Amino acid sequence: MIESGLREATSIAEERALVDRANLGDERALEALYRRHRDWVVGLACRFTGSRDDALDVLQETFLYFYSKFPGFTLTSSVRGFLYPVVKHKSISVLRRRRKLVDLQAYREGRDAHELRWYPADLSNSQLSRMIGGLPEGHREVVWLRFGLDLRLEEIADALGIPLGTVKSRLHNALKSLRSAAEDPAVRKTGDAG
Amino acid sequence: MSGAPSTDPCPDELTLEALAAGQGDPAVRAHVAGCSACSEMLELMAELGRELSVSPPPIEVPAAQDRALRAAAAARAAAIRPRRTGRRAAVVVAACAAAVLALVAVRGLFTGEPPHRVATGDIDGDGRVDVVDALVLARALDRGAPMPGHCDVDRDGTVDRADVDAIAGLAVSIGPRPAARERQQ
Repeated sequence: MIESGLREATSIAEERALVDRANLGDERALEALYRRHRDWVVGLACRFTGSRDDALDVLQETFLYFYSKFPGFTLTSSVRGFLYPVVKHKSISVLRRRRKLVDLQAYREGRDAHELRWYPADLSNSQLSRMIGGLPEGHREVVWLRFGLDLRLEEIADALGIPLGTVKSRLHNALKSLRSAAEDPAVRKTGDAG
Repeated sequence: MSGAPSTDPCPDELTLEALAAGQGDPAVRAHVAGCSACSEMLELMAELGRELSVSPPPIEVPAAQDRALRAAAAARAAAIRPRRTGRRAAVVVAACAAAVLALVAVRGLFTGEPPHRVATGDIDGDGRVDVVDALVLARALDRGAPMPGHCDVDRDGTVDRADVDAIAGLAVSIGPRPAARERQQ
């Protein structure tokens, strides 16, 4: 446990050093930041868009935007904390462009045509998935960022642009709800049947 | 204490979450070891991790796009280095404008419509040859889009990865910015 904390601290310190060097125009540092987060970004974009081709578009747009922040980029929590909302918004833009022609149909059906498919579309049909699906959107996203993407609470606050206290309270409430649901015999029965 | 029912009040969910993340003091750990409710909560967190961390199959970034994005990083860093503070902002603004123009241009460039300009290497038609052109061409090749003649930068009669490399090489080379060569239609 101490080792994992030490690894995390080392990783954050390394990232901070890379950002400092990139701000001074060190191309190897900027490229290292790209290599470090490339696969994470493309995987996240794929989860958001559900398409390899769209994910590669998002990758490109995300890093061009990221590079444009140098010099003068300030690291708040981590690069991933910065990149998450960028990937999310670029994914929404790509989906919006891609689905422009079917918006009318979505409108008639009363659906949000630009809704991201990140969650819970790619989850299994397990009891736990249904329980998570029953959480309010804001709580669900915090749970996904914490347990799915393994972001720290500070990174989540940075990624969502909300205070750390709000992240804590959403996570606290979400976990409490999930525990209550898990103890509910009716939910358990539905899960067994599913 | 292990195995004995705990009489301490249970720590809240966030404290348990911190414990699961490798933090938490020994007193909390000792409590959890003897508390079935807390153990169940930790098990729920572990289950959440297993359920939510399932990733889609890894996507391999096409080599040409990867090279172009690395070249874009190099170009950005090069733009930072030699400038003094007064000119730095202008460089950043110009590069951002190029990226935005390229992203707008890419939507119409490879749909069979004739390009607005016919300069060799100026793929996005913004009047200059830079790494954004390499990125745009790399993505178009990956999609198998039809290639206008001005994409054949090395003039070998085909538009392929070598043209992406040629553009990237031009864009990051030291010296005066390469001018877009006008070409007869």
